[in-house]
Formats: sequence, C-alpha cells, structure tokens
Amino acid sequence: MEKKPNSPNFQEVALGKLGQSEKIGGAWRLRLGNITKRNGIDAAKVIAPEGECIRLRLANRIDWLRLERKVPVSELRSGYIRVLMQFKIEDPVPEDEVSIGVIGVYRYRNGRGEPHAVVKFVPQAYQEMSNVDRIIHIGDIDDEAEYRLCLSIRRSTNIDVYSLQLERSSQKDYYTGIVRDSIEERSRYLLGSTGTAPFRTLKLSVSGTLKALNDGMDKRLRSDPTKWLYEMLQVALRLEDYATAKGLAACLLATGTPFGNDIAKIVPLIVDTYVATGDIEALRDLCLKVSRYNGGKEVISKVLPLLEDCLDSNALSDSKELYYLNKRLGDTVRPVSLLDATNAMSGSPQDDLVAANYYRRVDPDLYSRHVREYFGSFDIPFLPIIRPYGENVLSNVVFEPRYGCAETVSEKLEYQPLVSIIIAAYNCESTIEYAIRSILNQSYKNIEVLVADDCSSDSTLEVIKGISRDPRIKVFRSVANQGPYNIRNSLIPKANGELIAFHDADDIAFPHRVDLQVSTMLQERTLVSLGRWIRVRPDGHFVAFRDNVFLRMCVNSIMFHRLVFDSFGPYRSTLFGADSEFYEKLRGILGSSKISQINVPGVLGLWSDSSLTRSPGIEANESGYRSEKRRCYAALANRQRVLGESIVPDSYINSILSDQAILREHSGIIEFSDLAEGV
Amino acid sequence: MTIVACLATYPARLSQSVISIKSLLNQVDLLHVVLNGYTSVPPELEELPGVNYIIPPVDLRDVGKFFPDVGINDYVFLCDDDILYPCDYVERMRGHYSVLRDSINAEPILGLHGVIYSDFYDGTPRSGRSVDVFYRELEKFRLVNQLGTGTVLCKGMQLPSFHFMEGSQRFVDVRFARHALKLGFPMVCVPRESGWLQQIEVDSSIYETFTEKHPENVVCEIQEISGMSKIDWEKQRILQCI
Repeated sequence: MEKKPNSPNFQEVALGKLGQSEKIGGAWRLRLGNITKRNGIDAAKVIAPEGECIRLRLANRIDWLRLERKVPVSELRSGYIRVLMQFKIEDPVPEDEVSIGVIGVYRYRNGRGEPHAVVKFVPQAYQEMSNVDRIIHIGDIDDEAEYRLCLSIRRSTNIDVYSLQLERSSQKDYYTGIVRDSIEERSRYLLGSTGTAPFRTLKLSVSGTLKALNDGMDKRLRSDPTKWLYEMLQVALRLEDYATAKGLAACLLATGTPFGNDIAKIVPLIVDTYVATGDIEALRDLCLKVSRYNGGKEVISKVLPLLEDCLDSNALSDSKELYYLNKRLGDTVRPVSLLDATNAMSGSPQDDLVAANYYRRVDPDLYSRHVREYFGSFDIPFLPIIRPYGENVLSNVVFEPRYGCAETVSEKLEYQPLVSIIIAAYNCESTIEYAIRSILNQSYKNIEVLVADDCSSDSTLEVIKGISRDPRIKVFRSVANQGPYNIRNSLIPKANGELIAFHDADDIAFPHRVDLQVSTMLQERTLVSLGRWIRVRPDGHFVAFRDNVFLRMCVNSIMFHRLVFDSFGPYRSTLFGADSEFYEKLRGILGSSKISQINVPGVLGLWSDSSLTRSPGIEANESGYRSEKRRCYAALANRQRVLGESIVPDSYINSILSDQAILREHSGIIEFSDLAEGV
Repeated sequence: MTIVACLATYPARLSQSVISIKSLLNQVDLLHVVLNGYTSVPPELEELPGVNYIIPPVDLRDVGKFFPDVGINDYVFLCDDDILYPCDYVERMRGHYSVLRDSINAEPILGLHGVIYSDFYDGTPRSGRSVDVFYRELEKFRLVNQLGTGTVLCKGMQLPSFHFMEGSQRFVDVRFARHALKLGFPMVCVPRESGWLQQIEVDSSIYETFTEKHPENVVCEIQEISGMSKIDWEKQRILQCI
C-alpha cells in the first residue's frame, strides 16, 4: 500500500453478506464477523480506492473486522518480518482498552484462519497519525498452509490506513525491538505511576502482603496483632531491613508470646533476625524463653546448633542438618567422621558434594570423582576436574567437554551478539590470571573482555599485562581506587557489546557460562539473565549455606542488554552490594518474565578471607550474619525500592552510606592500549 | 511548678476558641493564646481573665502553640482551638503523668490522639496507620509513634524549640514526634472513656483537610518515627499492667 497522508481520494465499495470475504481493491479482501443476535445489517462501509489508502467505518453491531492480503511463503522464510503500518483513528479509545487491534501473519488451513505471529497495536491519540513498526518472529512455516497479512480491528472503530507493508528482518532487529519495546513500555508505566509507592504499582515479591498489611492495619492490629506483626516481620526480613525486623521481633516477644500454634512459624523468623544482626545474647534468651512454651523445645532444638555455631564453641553440634554437618567436614581443627558425612546425605545430587568434602583430606581421587558426579547431574556441556591440592584449588581447575555436548547452543542462532565482559581487579595477583583465562576460554566466541585494575598495591596489573596479548582484552586502570561499581559505570560506555556481563577477579567461569546466558536470553526473549554458582574454599571444601543449599543465584553473573543499563543504571558508587541493589531494581521494574534464570552451575566462586564477603566489617557469611554496614545499605536500598525515591531519596541514602564509609568516589579510568599490543 | 496551656487560633475560629479557652481557664495557672491573623485582641477574648495573648508578626498557623516561652519544669498542655476540654482534664492528665513516670522510669509525653504508623508507611490515605482518636474510648495506656498536639501534656524541658518546629505548619504532630523520638521521650496515649473530650464543630480542621493524604515531604519525615519497631515494647508491657 502506498502512503499518502494528505486527503486521499477514496471510493466507496459495496459490502457483501456477513461472514464472507469481499474483495475490496488490489490484493485486499475484507472479512467481517458478527456474533451479536442482529443479522442482515449493512454494518460497515469500506471506502477503498485502488492501491491507495483504506478508510474503514464500522457500525456498532460489527464485532470485528479483518483486512487481509495473501503473503507468499517465500517472503516469510527469513524467520523475522517487519510489519509497518501508518494509520489514524477517528474516535477516542476508551481508557480501559489495552489495544484496538492486531496486525501480523495469520495462517489459513481448510478455510479457517488463526494468528501465527501477531502484535497488538494501540494508537497514540485519536485523529493523529500513529505508527506500528514491529518485528515479529514467524517461526516454522507450513508449505501446505496459506499465510495472510491481516489487520484485525474490533468493535466500532473508524480507522484510516495510510500504509501497510511487510519487510524482511533479522533476529538481531527482532531481539533489539523486543528490548526497546519492553523498556519503553515499562518506562511509560513508571512515569504514569509517579506519586504512588512502587509496591502498589509493581509486582514486587512483597507487594501483595505489604498492601494488605498497610491497608488493613488499624483493624488487624486491634483484632489479631500477633498475625499482623508476624507478617510484617516477614516483609522486613525479605527486604533485609533487620533493624525493623529486630524491633518487630521485640514487639512479638513482648505482646504475642507464647504464640500458640504459630510458634513454629514465628520463632524461626526471630532467629533469622538475631543471626543476621549477630545478637547472640538475644538468641540465647530466645532459646531459654521459647523452650518453656508448648511446642517450644522442638522449635528450639533447631536453633541450638546455630547458637553453638555463632558462639564458635568447641562443643560439637549433633545437628543432622546438612549445613552443620558440612561445616564440620570443612573444619580444619576438629576431627572429621564418616558418620558426619553419612548423616548429611539426603538422596539429592548435593550428596556428592558432601562426599567430596569428606574425601577431600582422605582420598583426593574420590574427591575429584564425586565433584564430577555432582556437576554431571546437570545438563551442562563442560565438567570441571578439581584436585584438592595447592594453596587454591581454583588455580588448577580444568574443564572437559562432556561427550556429545561440545557444541554451543548459540551456534545454532542466527544472531550472536557481541558480549562485553567487565572485570574489576584489586589486589588479586594470585587469582586474576585464572579468572581472565576462564573468560577467554568461553565456548561462545564473540566476546571482548575489559579488565580494570583498581590501583592495586600488589602485582595485579603486571599479571594482567602478562596475558593481555589476546586481542579480545582491553586493559584499563583507575585514576584512583574507586571500587568495582564505579569501574562498571566507567567501562560500560566503553564497551562495544550489545550484551554486558561481569566476572569477579577471583572466580572461574565454566566454559559454557556465556553461551548459555546468551542463547537463553535470545530464545526466551528476555533482557537480563542470571546464572548460578557454587562457593568453594581455597582448600577445595564446598560451602553450603544455612538453608542447606550449595548451588546459589550468582548476582555477579548478571548479563543484560546495554539498553537496560542506559535506561535504569548506573550502579550506585559503593564498595559492595550495588549489584544486588541493581538486580532487585530490575526485577521490580522489568518483572521476572523479562529475566532468565540459568539454573545450572556457571561459576565457581572463591570463598576466601580475601573476598569482600569475608572481609571484617563488611561480612556476609554462610550462617546468615550480615555486618552492620551491609544491613544498613540493604535496608535503605530495599526501602527505596518499595516506597519510592520521593519517600526515600537518593540524597538521603547516599548521605548515610557516606557516613558509613561505604560510598566510593568516582575517579575515572585510563585505557592501556599500549599494554594490549604487548609494548 | 506552673501549669501552662498553649493554644493557637485564627479569626475564623473565634467562636470556637472562646469555648475552648473557657474550658481551660480555671484549670491552668497560665494560658498562652497565639492570635494568628489578628491585629488586635478581639473583645470576646479580651474579656476572658488571666490569658496571655500573643499576636505574632507572621501567621504561624499550628506551629504557634510552640511559640510562647515556658519554664523547663512547667507542666505544659498543648491545646487546640476546636476542642472542649472537660473540667477534670488537667487533673487527670497530671495524675497519669506521675504514675507513668514512676512506672516506666522515663519522662513520657502524654496525649489523647495517638497514631502508630506502619513500618513501611507510604502515605496512602486511610492506610498504614492505627489511630486512637481523642474522643473515643481507650482502655489501656498505649505507646505510639505520634501524638496529636491538640491534646498533649509534657514538661517544659521536653518541648522542642520554636526554631526546630518552624516550617512544619500543618504537620506539627509529625515534627514534634521526631523530636520526642530523638530525645527518648516515649509518647503515650492515655486511657479514657468515650466523649471525655469533645470536638467543637468547625467548617474544616487541619486534620480533615490535610491529613487525608500527606505530601511527600511529610511522608519522608514520617519515615523517621514510623513503625511498631520503633516502640519500646518492654515499656509497653509495663503499661499493660497499669
């Protein structure tokens, strides 16, 4: 159809009976549908000049109208089609209408049509020119079927179509279009929600509960305060606001005890609160108090090993829970027993890691075998061979392609975007080399690596220089030490990749990490992906957390389209924790449907005393303890996320973080292009 | 130890303020009345004995009740110009003060209109608050985040400076509560029967016109005082036994 925006010359075309299709000019046919009880009505006038614009006028009794044109199969074989339409509607669209129509490709078999690849469209405003410019994925084509480009409109909409056409497109344009549309849609939604707390407008994990707690507060607090407090405590813990959680716990203990039938639900939350805050005295008092209540002893029996754990006493815990037993297996001082190991077995693949931890000091070959068995339980193409020798087992990890799984998933994809992987390095001379090499050894080839030394005082920079001959590596140095997130904010604009990812300077990436993330994002049409990791000590002991889980979500492994960062970044300029804040922000804004979770191991994370999570004053350890600084930052960031920036402004957060010496000043970054050439 | 009452009013509330002032006159040693928007003391108020009228240079609105100077040991009753105070108001409130101070070993601030906010208060109207309205029954003492400053008793030394309260017109209760929390004065809503205090009919009150939806800057301030988690529950347990 030719575009003609100014007063086209329309001609009238008579209609046929309802239900049949009527030829209206050129290759176009018009099909009408009416599911009301009224029949035989001259329900629409179609004014369709030859080869030019189409003006459609519907009466109320028409439920839908479809304009169709046959499309040769050859036009659809590229897999991706760009649909372009210019149109104008004459009537205002009711506010509750999500769209007025659908445009795309329908497949017809035996005279019946069904949507094959379509998009909805909504005009910007009535009586103004609107555009549809969308790329649709055609998918598999059936040579026996007939395909038609269709414009479907429902109800009484009067529309002028000025142009309507198809163009061949690509997976790259398709995916980029999805990213743009998703971001635009969410940004528009956020703009429209200004003035309302995000927990009321976004689907956050606490949204439903918090709304109910707030809206029913007066009534519920008077009728059943214990329940209200318990649910609010859950919210506080989910938001990592341990100061609030502690206050609510105190309230529960003062007013709600002995908790009745809810004791098994409430007490563990209070325990989690005291563990996170390191409040051992309160934990001890809780044990003594609750053990007097009906059902209290059973609940407290699970807490007591934790108390011993926190007190770091020499008494051996007799808890059968995997976390405690695994911890004993990793203890370098106390004796390790086969009983400890067998008691921790649960019949899950994790048993192999427990067995590996047992054999670590007894039989290195069995250690390696059980490690391979564990990772072999996942559908991953590369398996690690880890030997429990040396100062750091990660220094000697090698990967073997699994038989029959050497291919990458992304090789089959038409579009293989460039992935920029950013690594911030500080005083990591003993780990940076294997960390970078694990990225260079990725099975996915279209990558570049941006490594920045954050003014290390050891030989980190020299080590980086030593392996920077690879043309995929670009080396940078901070002007002054500035923390990993300032480095990310500086390097992302310098990255060439459509997709951005990160890697820690002491971790090892499985060779399939990038491949799986890229291919999953393209196939699931998501904007962000996150992988999983296993934490391992330098001596080879695998670390389970207090929830008895080894394999955990790895926020460091986040990969996103660069438009996501352009729209919702930057990272806050802190020493730690900004990756969690940014991820939670994206989860709230984009929704979980736009984030892929890769539920197989992708990274081996070093769990050593030099890690930020183990550093004194900023710890986040496997028992659940969080240092005061981490608690402070997490609580502020999450409070802002649910209540909004107008109630919890950035200036307020940053002033508190500054007082806590968590903020880092941005200093800038210098590229060492000479180093990359080996000069 | 002087018993002082402070109240602010404006011309549209003249008839109500006469009733309110008269209900307080015989119960206090000194009554300060800040006359916002007046150029002189109207005859209806001038004829009331023993009242110190203050005409401020600018309209202070409800912050005006914090304008007069008081002694640090004075019992200070902050009052509103649209409430009818019963004849035993001062006596009972002072009695509560003595009992509480000894029981919880702290200097309390007492009131009749108490608010507890949600720990994640977002300012949505009629949401995120538990309110003990001053004219309704309350059986037991209740620690709260905030007290309505129209029905408060405190000591002079517990009052914030006028400078601290400046700029909090229409949300003085919030600002006052921030002061109390910062200095560790527990805010206690006292038990009473329904109708002990009564609202004098007005066209509109700040409560109705303003507290329907808090502006964002006020919601920000409320974050500092809000939540069950900010209440001293050991003290509350003691209060439950009184």
